[in-house]
Amino acid sequence: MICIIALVVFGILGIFSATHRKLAWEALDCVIRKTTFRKCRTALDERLRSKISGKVIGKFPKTGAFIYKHFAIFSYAFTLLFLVSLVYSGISIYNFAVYGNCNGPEEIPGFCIFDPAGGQTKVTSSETCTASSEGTLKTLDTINITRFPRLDRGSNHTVVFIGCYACPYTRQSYPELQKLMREDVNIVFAHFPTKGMTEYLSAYDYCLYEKDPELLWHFNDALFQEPVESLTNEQRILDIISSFGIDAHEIQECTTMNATQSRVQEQLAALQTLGVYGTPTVFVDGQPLVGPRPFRTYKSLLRKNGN
Amino acid sequence: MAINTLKIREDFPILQKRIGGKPLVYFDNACMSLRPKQVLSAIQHYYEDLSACGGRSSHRLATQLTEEMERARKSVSAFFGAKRAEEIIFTKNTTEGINLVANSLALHKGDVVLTTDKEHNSNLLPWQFLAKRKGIVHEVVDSQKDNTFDIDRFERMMSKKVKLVAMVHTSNLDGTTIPAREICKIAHEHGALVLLDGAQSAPHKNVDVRKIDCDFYAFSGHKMCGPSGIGGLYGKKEMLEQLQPFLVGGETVTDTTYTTYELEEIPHRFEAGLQHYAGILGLGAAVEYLKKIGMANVEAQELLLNSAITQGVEQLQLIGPVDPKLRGGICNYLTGSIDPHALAIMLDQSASIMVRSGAHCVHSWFNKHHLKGSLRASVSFYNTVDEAKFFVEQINKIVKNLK
Ligand SMILES: Cc1ncc(COP(=O)(O)O)c(C=O)c1O
Repeated sequence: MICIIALVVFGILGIFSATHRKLAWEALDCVIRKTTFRKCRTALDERLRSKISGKVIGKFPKTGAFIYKHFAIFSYAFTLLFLVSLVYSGISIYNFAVYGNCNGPEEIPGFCIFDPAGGQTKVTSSETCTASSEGTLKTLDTINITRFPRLDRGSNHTVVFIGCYACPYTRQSYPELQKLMREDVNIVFAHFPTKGMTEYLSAYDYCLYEKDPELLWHFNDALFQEPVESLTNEQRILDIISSFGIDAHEIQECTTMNATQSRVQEQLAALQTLGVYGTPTVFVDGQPLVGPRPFRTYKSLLRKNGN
Repeated sequence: MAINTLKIREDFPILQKRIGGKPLVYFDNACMSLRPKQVLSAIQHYYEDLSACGGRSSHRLATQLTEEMERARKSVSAFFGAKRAEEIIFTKNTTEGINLVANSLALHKGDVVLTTDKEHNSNLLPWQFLAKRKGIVHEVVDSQKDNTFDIDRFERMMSKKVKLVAMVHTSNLDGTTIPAREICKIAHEHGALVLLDGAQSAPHKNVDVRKIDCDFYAFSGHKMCGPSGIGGLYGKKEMLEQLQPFLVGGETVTDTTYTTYELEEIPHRFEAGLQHYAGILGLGAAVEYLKKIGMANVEAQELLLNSAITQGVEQLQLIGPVDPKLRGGICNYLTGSIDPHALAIMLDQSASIMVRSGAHCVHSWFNKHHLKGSLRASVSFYNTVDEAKFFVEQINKIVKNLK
C-alpha cells in the first residue's frame, strides 16, 4: 500500500533527481508485484516501514513500535486518504479550469492552491444592503428577470451581470465582463449597490434604459471608469449623462418619479429574493459565478452550453 | 597498556561528524573500517605529489613512486611477519587473493579442497567453480555445536587427496578464530597446502604468517584502515614461484616475442597492469598506523567492547560461543521474530548506529541452519565503551518494544 504513495511521491521527485527516479522504479515494481500478491523484490515497503518507525522509536519507543507493528493499517489509511485527496485535487483542477476557482462556481470560502490569494472568490459583501440573505443563491427562475434592463441579441446564451458601480471587485472584473458581453450573448444588467450612497444610481440606470437601451451600456462603461469618489457626486453623474448628448435634467427628473422608484425597489427586492450576497455575481446561462473570474472561465461555460 | 581511544578518535575525520544530527556510532567494522587521516594523506600524497606509474618509467616521479611502493610492500610484509617483501602480492581485496590461488595453483580432477562450514562466499565460490570446471572435490568441515572449529573432525577428514585447506581464519559470522597453526601442521603432514582467508583476522589480531606457517594468506586493506580497492596475498616464496599466474599482461613479464614470454620475478608476475598506487601507499600507511597502535592493544580494546555488548544485550540469541574472548570484535545476533534489516534501519534512524544485517555473505551457513539473517555489530579499536553501552541501551529498548 505504502508503495502506491511512494510511487507518486518519488515519481514527482524523480523528475528532478536521479536517486528518486530509481526509488520510483522500485515503487512501481513493488506496486505491480503487490497487486499480483507477490513480495516486493527490493523490499522497498519494508524499508520505508522501518525508516518511518525508526524515526519515531528513538524518542517514543512505544509509538514507534506501534507504528511498526500496525504499519499495514496505517499505510492502508494513508493510501485511502491519498486517493481521496487525489480525487479532490482532480475536482479542484476541473473547477479551476471551468469556474476559475477550485471550490466551484459559487464563493465557498476555502483556500485554492491555484489561486492562493483567493482573488477569484473575492466579493464585496452586501452587508451594507438593507436586507440580505447571505450565502445561498437561488435560481434565476425564482425572480422575474424581464424587469431588469436587457440587451437582447437573439442569442441562445444569456448573461446576467449583477454588479455594483462602487465596489472594488466588480470594478476589477469589469474588463473581463466587457469581453464576455462582446460575445454572442443576451445581457441582463442589475445594479446591486453594496456601498451606501450609490443606491441612487439604480434609478439613473432605469431612466437611461427607458430612454434608449443603448445608453445604459455607455453609462456602465463610463461609471466603471470613473474614480469611486465621484460616484457619490450627482453633479458629476449629470455631466456624464450630458456628454451622451441628452438632457441630463430630464433624466434626473425621471429618477424622482414614483414609477421609477417603485421599479428600483422591485428590482432590489428581486435581487434579495434571488439571494445575491455579494458582487460581482454573474449568471451564465443560469449558472452562477460569484467573485471576479477570468474571461476564459465564462467562455468555457458558454462553450459547455453549446450554441 | 590501555590505549587512549579518545586521542585515537581524533585521527578519524568521520568520527568528528554527526549523522542526522547525532554522533556517528560505527559498528560495521567487519565490512569496512574507517580511515585515519594518516591514510588519507598517503592517498592524497600520491595524487598530489606523484601521480605517475610505478615500475616502468625512469623519471623521478616514477622512481620515487616505485620506491615508496616497495617501502609499503616491506611494511605490509613486516606487519604479517613474512620473511621477504616479495612474498606480498598486491591485489584488489581478499576475494582477488583467493581467486588468484584458486586459478593459479595446480589443482586437478579429484583433488580435494577443504573449507569450514562458515566460509564467506569469497572462499566458497572459487572452489564451487573449480569443482565445475576442473572436477576438484570441495568438502566442508562442520563446526562444533558452539560454532567453533572441530579439529578432530578436520583431522579425520584429512587424507592424501586433500591438496588444499582453504579456511576463514577469523569468521565474519561469529568472530571465532580457527587454530590455524595446528591446522597447518596437520595439513602439511598430509602434504596439503593451507590458504587462510585473513579478511577478518588481519585487522584485529597479531598475525604472524611464519609462526602460523600457512602457505597463503589473503587480506583486504579496506578492513584494516586502508583504502578501498586494495588488499594483498601473502604466499611463501617457493609456493608463489610454483603458481601459474592467471591474470597476465603488462608488468607481469620482462620480455615477449610474438610466441614467447619471459615472466617477471615474484611478486610482479602476479600484479598485472598498472596498479592502484594510491591504495598501495595508503595500505602502507595503514599498517604503520596499526603497528603504532599495537595489535595487542587493538585486541584488548575490542575485547572490552565485545564484553560490554555481550553482557548488555538482552532477548537476542548470539551466534557462536558466549565467551567474548572467542569472538574478537564481532557480536552477531539472531533476532527471532524481528526482521534484522528492520532492526538495523531503526538503529540507524533513531540513534545513528551503523550495524549490518542479513546473511553477511555467509548464506550457506544460514541456509544450513534454515535461518534468514542476523544483526551484526562489529567493533574496532576506535570505538568506545560508552558507544557499546549506548548501542546496548538502544537495541534493548527497540527489541523490548517490538517483541
Ligand atoms: C571472512 C571474509 N572473507 C572474505 C571477505 C571478502 O573481502 P573482500 O570483499 O574485501 O574481498 C570478507 C568480507 O567481508 C570477509 O569477512
